[in-house]
Amino acid sequence: MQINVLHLLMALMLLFFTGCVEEYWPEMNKYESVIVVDGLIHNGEGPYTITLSRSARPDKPVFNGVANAQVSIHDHLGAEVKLTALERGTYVTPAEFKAEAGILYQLQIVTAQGERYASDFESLPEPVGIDTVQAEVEYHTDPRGYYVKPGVQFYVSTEAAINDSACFYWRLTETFEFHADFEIYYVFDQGILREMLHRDSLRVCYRTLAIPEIFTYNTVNMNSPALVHFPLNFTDTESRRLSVRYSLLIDQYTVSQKHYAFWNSVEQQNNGQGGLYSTQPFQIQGNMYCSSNPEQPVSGNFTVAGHTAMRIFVDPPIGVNYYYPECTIDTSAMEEFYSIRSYPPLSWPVYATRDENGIPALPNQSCMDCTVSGTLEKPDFW
Amino acid sequence: MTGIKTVSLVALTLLFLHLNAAGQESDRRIDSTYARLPLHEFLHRAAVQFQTGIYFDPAQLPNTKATTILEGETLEKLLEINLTPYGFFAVRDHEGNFFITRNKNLLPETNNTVSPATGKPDTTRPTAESLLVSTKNAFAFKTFKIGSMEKADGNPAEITGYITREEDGAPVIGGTVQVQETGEVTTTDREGIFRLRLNPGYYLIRASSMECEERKINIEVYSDGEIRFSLPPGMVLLNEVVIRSDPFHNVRSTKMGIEKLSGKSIREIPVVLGEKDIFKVAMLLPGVQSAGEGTQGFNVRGSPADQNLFYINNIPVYNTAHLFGFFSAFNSGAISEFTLYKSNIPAQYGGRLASVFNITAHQGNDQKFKLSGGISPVSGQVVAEGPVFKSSSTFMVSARTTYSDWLLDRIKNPELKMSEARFSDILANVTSHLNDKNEIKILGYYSYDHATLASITEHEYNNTGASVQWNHRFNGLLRMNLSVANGNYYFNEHNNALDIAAYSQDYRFSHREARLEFTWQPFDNHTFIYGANSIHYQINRGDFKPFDSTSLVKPLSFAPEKGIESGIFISDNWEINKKTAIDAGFRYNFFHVLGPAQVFTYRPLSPRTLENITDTLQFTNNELIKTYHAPDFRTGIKYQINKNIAIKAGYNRMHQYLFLLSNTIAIAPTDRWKLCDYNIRPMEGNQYSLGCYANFFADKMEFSAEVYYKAAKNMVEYKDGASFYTDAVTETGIIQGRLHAKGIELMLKKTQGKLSGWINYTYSRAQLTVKDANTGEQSNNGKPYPANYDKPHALNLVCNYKPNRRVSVSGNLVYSTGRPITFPTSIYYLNGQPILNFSHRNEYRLPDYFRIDLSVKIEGNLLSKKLAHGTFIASLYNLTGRKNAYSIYFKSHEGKITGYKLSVFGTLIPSVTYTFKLGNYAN
Repeated sequence: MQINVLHLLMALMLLFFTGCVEEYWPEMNKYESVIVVDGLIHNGEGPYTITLSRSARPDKPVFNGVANAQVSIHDHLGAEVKLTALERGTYVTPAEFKAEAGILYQLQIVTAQGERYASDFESLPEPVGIDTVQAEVEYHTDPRGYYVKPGVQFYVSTEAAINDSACFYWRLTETFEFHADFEIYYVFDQGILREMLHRDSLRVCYRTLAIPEIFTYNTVNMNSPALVHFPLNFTDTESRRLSVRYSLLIDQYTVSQKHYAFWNSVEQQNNGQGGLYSTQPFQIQGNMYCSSNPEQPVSGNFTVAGHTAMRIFVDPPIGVNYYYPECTIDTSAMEEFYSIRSYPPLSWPVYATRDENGIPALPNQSCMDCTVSGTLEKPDFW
Repeated sequence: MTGIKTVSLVALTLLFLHLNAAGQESDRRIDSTYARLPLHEFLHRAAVQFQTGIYFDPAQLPNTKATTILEGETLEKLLEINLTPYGFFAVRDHEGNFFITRNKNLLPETNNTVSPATGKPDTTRPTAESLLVSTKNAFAFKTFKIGSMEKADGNPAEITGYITREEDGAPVIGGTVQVQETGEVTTTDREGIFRLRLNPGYYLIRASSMECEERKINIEVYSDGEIRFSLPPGMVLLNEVVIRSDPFHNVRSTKMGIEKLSGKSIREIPVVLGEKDIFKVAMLLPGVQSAGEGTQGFNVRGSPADQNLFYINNIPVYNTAHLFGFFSAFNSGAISEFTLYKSNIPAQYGGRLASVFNITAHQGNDQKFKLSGGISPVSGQVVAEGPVFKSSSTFMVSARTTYSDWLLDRIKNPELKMSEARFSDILANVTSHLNDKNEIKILGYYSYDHATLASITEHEYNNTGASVQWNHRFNGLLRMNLSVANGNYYFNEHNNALDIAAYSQDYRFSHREARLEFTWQPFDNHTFIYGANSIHYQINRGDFKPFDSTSLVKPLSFAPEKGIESGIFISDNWEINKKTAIDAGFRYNFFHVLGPAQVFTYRPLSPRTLENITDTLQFTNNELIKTYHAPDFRTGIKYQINKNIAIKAGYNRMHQYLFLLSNTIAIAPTDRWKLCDYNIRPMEGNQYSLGCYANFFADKMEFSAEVYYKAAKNMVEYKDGASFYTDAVTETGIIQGRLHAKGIELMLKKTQGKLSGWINYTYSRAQLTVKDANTGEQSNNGKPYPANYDKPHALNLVCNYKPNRRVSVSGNLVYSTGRPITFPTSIYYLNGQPILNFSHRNEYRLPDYFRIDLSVKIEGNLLSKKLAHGTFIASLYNLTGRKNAYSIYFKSHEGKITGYKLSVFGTLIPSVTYTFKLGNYAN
């Protein structure tokens, strides 16, 4: 009896040390909209994109592009490059424009309402190259802390900086090949159900995504002029990414200390909060100013960077478990097949497959048609 | 023959028994030899014959003879017959002692324990000194002679009195002494000394204190002299009083904003995991707040946590908590009491703007060896004390350690499973009364903390301190205290969250202080305190080193920082008349910034950035770089409307020459102290306070209402986004701003009775404006914003109910407004990723904080003859299990932003603690 009470006490006390983190969205009613300028130009292939938007309410996040603005880039020698507007809020430079080292660039914007915005004059830092990119199989703790999952961790090692130190900002793009789980045996289209000629025609797809994370680091306080083995992203096996072939494109931007401070602050504020000792968040100011109204804050930054890139291909890691949902054919899929003809024209063509015994079945379309979330077009670097 | 023998044997036995019985029972008989004796002789002989105590004052007895002797009557009856005509009564107690008194209502009660075996009074307890019985309204028959007849010259005599506690010989601090005949009242000071000035004659003085029984003493004053006596412990009358404070201090003293708590009272109040924590208890006092449950330090009256000065026996303490703030740095068993000065900080203390927290370590018991200890779910502690080999010295040693690893081992979270946290501390104290005029006190302590989190970070802390104090009494008017003290705070941090940036860094802070203080009372109504103190600071920021060979971190070496802070002070407590008193204190501070250092000068009227450096000055070791100096004023005035109500007002100006460099919202364990220097100016603060104080129901309840306003300048605040790992040049990462705080504190205390405790409510605001006109730099666009610890409403309720001596139930209720927090005002996209935009600082608030705690204490049996006495304390922390928010933050993951709320103690936390001590309940 006594021992049980003791165990109960212990169990209750354990809860204390785990603290308690729960999802919580506070009520926030002080909404202030700011103008946001997001632009990155470099010495690599163009065209470069500048976006102009207004910030949205925190509980209704949406990109509010600002259209009909005059956006141009000026250099210190007097040349001007006008950008063309694409869809709402996006402006691109002409294809032949390439930023060069040794020239100072300034972004100027005039909105349809007559507000004028301009950046400081920025120079392009000498780009530091990437020496190697490594992919290593590792096990990481899930952010919730309850289990450990396998995956591939990417590391970048840079070349030596020309000066003592360099500041880096990376943008990563992943491309992966994935396969639909089942071949297509039947197709229902134009009101006719027939056998599929090329069963594998929609089986192999590719998907390219920008990795939605900010990566920054610098060698200012480092002993060596090159960064060695810096961790970038971690791709786990809870999705199909690593199942067939995976590729990561690392765009490395060498930036000035000022731009590094901007991107690093954004990274810290977006990720570094939480825990017992967090810092006071604040409005991060970039290098854009409102010349028609100096008091008005402008978010975002016009970044001028030196660019290098490297791509790495990764084959599926051996000896790890995959945890992505796989399609299975169950009795409801088999029953569904019999109502294939009732599918409306908007959903045509509708694909169906067979299970291992040859019985036709109609699981989710994505189990057979990989184009639901990918494209058949093989990237030219594959 | 045998028959007679038997009969006579039986007869003798019967007679013997009868006589014995007669002796045992209350009958006493008097014979005729008593006739015609003078009364006092009659009483004296009766006392001797019957071996019973008869207590009377010979001076008060009439000079008559005991006329009426009735043979065969009981002593009691005869006393009654002979004394009543003269207005005297004879009262008896359980032991058969008689008291001759004019007070008809005298009801003797003893506090002797009753032996359960025989049901009779247990006389095996050591008796009190022979001149006093431990009863209520005791009537002492011994008279003290003060001075000598030869020296008597009719002039008023200066009497110096020294009162100690009977149980352990410690001085009675804050006790009151009242002279019945003149109505004069005075109090004892920190050494237990009081002074009176009386014309020669007979007087009755009453001495009491909240911890002790009252005692009446007859004195015959001839000329200047001394008197020493002790007060017995007040056990039955007073329950374990939650607040120990002299009933007269609240009203009579000129000092405002003082809170005093004794070590005993701390042990009753329930806190997390049964750990008694003087700092957590201090947070239940009005005007004291904390930024959250995982941080050490607290905020007094709207000031940041680095503006409080902590001393234990004159040793400065910089790390007041173990394990990131969860546990106190000191074992409460080693603490005798603490005093918190919030308003009037005495002139002998300087160097902090907000408060002084003075802890007195427990002095060893001077009569016998005592051992006590306890076990709680996470720590064990032991305290040993006693006299040193029958000399006039006493010692006290306290040791404490944790064993929380076993708890962490069982947690699911894999990171916490691989973590470790432990601490231990030891404190030793020796007090030596060399002679009447000299006393030496030595204290040393060592504390150690070690914590690792999932083999990513490792922290190690070491605190050591030592002090030697010499108290010397020149004469009844002049006393001196000379002390030297040393405090060292060291920590070492390893961080390998990122392999290539893995580093280790240590930090060492040393504070060496010498202090000389005189207390002089040349006149009745003036008490002068004057002297000087000097502190030598040395901060070694240590080397920032790569942790191992895979780390690419560039090693950085920081030069040590040195400074000397000194002050000379004088203050006078002047009692102008019975109603008015003034406390006037003046202190002049000096701060010398010393090298070695490399100092940068900056372009005027420009932001302090590395680009704006105009010159670099080099200073060698101990070379004087800059001197700051400024006066402090510490003044208070008291006006007493009547015996029970007073109004007080105060003005304090303070200066501070060092600060805690922290870029986190709550004090983090890696925050470091930094001295003011060439570029960072000292802080200055002014506090105005006004209050009304009342005691009522015969001092059973105390009420106070205090209102204050504070303004401080040169407060150090981090620039947005700055971090001291990358900013080796501190002044480029900070801006100095202004603090404005104001509030009203209401407190009601019940100090006696079965139910005791307090309730307080504070309304306070604290606002910072960070704008430097010199450099043009500002935070929050130069607009004022609420400080991180601004909590407008705070309510604390502490209750202690003690129905009998073995059980006591305690509860707390804590409510406060949530602290301010900065939330996003909009969201925007960069490269397709959602980014939160924050604008004005601290515009929102966390949800309110509310918590109820309960604890039950059950004492072991009340047997007086036992080897050890045990106590169980069962406590429930956060009874309602409310998930009080510590912080709310946002994280972006895979392109989506989610909000989170972190609570430190998100559930009900039960615990059981067992404590023991050698001896019985009363020890």
